[in-house]
Parts: sequence; structure tokens; C-alpha cells
Amino acid sequence: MEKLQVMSFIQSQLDAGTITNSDILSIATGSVAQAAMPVTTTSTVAPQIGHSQRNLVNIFYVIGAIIILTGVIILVSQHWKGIGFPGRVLVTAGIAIGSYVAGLMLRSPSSRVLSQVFFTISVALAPLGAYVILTENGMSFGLVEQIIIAVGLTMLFAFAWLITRRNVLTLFVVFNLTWAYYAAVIKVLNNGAAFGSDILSWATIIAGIAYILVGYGYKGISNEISEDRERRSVQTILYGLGTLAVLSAGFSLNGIWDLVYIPVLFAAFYLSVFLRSRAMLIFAAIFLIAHLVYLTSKYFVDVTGWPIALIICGFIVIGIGYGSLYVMKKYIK
Amino acid sequence: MKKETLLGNLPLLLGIALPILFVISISLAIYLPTLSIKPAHDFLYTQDSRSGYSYNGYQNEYHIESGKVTLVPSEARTLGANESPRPSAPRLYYYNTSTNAAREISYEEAQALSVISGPTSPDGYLVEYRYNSSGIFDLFGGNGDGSGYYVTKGGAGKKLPALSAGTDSYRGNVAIIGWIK
Repeated sequence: MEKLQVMSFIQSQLDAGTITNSDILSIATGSVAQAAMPVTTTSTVAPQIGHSQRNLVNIFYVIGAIIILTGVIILVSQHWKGIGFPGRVLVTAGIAIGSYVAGLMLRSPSSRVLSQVFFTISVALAPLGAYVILTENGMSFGLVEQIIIAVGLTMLFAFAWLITRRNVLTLFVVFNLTWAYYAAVIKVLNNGAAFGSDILSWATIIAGIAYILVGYGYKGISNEISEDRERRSVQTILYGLGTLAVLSAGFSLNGIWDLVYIPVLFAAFYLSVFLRSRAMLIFAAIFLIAHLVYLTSKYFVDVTGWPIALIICGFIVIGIGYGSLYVMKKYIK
Repeated sequence: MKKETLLGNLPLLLGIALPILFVISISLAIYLPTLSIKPAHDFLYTQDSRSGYSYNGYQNEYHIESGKVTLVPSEARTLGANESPRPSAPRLYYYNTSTNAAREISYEEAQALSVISGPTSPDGYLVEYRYNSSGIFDLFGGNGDGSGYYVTKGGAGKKLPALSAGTDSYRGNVAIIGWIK
């Protein structure tokens, strides 16, 4: 292929939105080390095959993890009494510890996905293991115990992140901290029943804001394009969950918050463009529709009647849907 | 350089600090008012472990007359053939609000006390049941660990642990008779 043809092809893909400027920049940065190598037909084809093979292996890793977790769930549910205390500890805490150690050991760049799969198995089984050990020894799985276990798991996975810098560990640290946070909030609330359920809504809003801030502040280590993609995935998940938490908890508040919620929704739209987050935009659109339907049913049905209110709601849904699509195409892509 | 690093990580630090600050804030908002809850009077109450279908009431109930506890016959009731006879009176307890301890006392002991009928104490306190449903399934205490009897004044309340024990499943089995002068 001639250089001009290649340039033209890249330009057409850029125009079509298949690739972005940052993708080209990241390819250019990644190929610095290979720049001295002669560009031949074999050198361009070989990495493509390697990449697809790697993807296939990664899929097998993920399927393997799902099979392991399914196996544990079936074993636990069908033979819980039969396998005895050692068996119960082995299939929960044992596999969790084993997987954690395996994840730590697999530090080479080629084992990136495999180590993350092991960490996922570990984080899924660790709370169950802690529950088994506590309850089998006659201890309760109360709120204080949950706080201690969640903080302990946070520190373990934060340590693993420091050693391996795997992106998925950031999510596990955040999830365990969230567990500790909710257990602490409810422990405090249990000592003062005067507070209503609104406190839990506010706690969720705070958690959501924290997720968005952590997502924004998370830089990670991006040595490869795939790692950079993982980092962006972590950010996408944190932005999405954070927005869902803020908007769903805000939706449950009533009174003056019915009004305050509207600027919050528009702030979410603005942030979605600023952070280039599709998840944030979609949630903002869904909750804007829900809120407008809610406001219509609460305040305007008596004035207009249900048929007119439904027609208005229908146009609102179409308008917000179209507007969101426009924003996504123009500013986020 | 360090300042730049700190500023660069500000969103991350804020994201971690915000939930911690929230937990500290609600802890203070809940605990600080309880410091002012110091009722000067103890109280008498009855507690019944029976509940549901087996409950037929008692032959007598406690009343306060001229500042003294007295037993007054309950409303007459015809019992069914399979129903057991009603006990004489419910068990009577003395709650010490300064030590937060409860002990069973006899009717004779109660008669020796000067009692003010409630529900509010002379210094404005009230004993009431508060239900706390702040849990997410059973994972975070959805069984209502915070539910129980509280001594309250205004919006603030302080849990009465000795009174709340064993009453979570059936709140109707406690009745406040009156406050000790």
C-alpha cells in the first residue's frame, strides 16, 4: 500500500469516527521502539495474529473464571453440609487466597488479563470466606465485623495494586471501601433511629460523587494501548456507577429537592460532555425523562388531565432522546 | 513539586475524604444531642413475654392513684374452653436511667415508691419505641438493629438498652406505668 493510500484510509476512518486522534497518537507512541525495524509485510501481519490469539486466550481466561465461580456456587449450595467446615473454608477462603497469590505472582505484562481474572475470583470469594470463618466459629457477621473485613480487603487489594498495578484492582478497592462505608453509615444510624431513610439517600449521593471524583483522579499506569483502554474502562464504570448513585438517590428525595434535582440533572449533562462519558449522558437522559414524567404526574395531571399529560410526556421522551443523541454525536462520540 | 502532586491528586483525595467526612458528620449529628439526654427520674414499666394468639391479658392492671401504684381489676372477659386462665398481673420492672439497668420488683416494693403517671416525665422526657429500617437487605443490618425503646426529648433520643433487649420482635409488650418522683 502506498503511503498516500494509507494516509487517505486513516483520514477516512477518522472522518467516520471509527478511530480518534488519541488512538493514532497512542499507536505512534507505542511504535517508537519499533520505528527502527524495517516495515515489511510480515511485520505488519504478525502482530495482528498475535493480538487475535491473545484475545482468544483472554476469552478462555474469563470463561474459566466464570466456570470456577459457578462451580463454587453449585458446590456450596448443593453440598454445604456434606463438605464440612474444612471443605467450606477451602472452597471459599482457600480459593480466594490461592487466587490472590496467583494474581500477585503473575506480574509479567503477558499475564495481565490472567492475573486480573485471578483477582476477580479472589474478590468474589473473599467476603464469603470471611463469612464462613466467622459464623463457623460462633462469631456474628455484624456491622463492626463487616467494616473490619471490608477495610482489611481494601488494604489487601490496594497492596496488590501497588505491586502489580492492575487496573481492575482499583475497582475492587473502591467496591470494598463502599462496603465499609455503607456498613459504617448504618452502624451509626442504628445508634440513632431518629434519622429517617433520607440519610441513606444522602450517603448514596456522597458515594456517587466520590466515585466520579475517584474516576476523574484515577490515572493508572498505561504502558500499552490495552492498559490505557482498561484505565478508560475503569473510569467509565466509576462515572457510570457514580452518576447512577447520585441521580437515583436524588430522585428518591422529595419536597424542595424536586426543584434542586433539575439543575443537578443539567450538571450531569454538562459533566458528561466535560468527562466524555456516555454512561453519564445516558443516565442523565433517563433520569431527566423520569423526573419530568414524575413532575407532570405530581403537579400537572390535575390541571391538564392524564391524556394531555401523556402526550406531553411522550414529546418530552422523544425530545430528550434526540437531544442526548445529538450531544453524544457532537461532543462525546 | 509536592504541592503540584497534591493538586494533581486532589480529585482522588477528595473522593476518598468525602465519605469519611460524611460518616464523621452523621456520627456527630447523632451522638452530640444524646449527650444532653440526662433524665433525672427513673421509671416503672411492665413487660410481657407472651404475644400473639396466646395473649389473653391479665386479671389486674397497674394504675397510679394519688402518686402510688395500685392494682385495678381488668375488664371482665369470658374465656374459651381451651384457653388458660389469665395471670394476676404483668411483671413489674424498675428502670434506673442513670445506670441504664432494669430490675424486676414486687408489687409491695412498687407501692412504697412515689410515682407520677406519664407519659412525660417531670423534666420533659418520654419513653417511646422507634423503628429503624435503615438497612440494605440483611447485609447491612436490615433486621433493624437500631429499633428499640428510646428516652427522648425534642428530636434527640437515647436508646434504653436494658428495655430494648428482647423487645425487637414484639414492641407491644412494654408499658410505661409512671416516673419515680
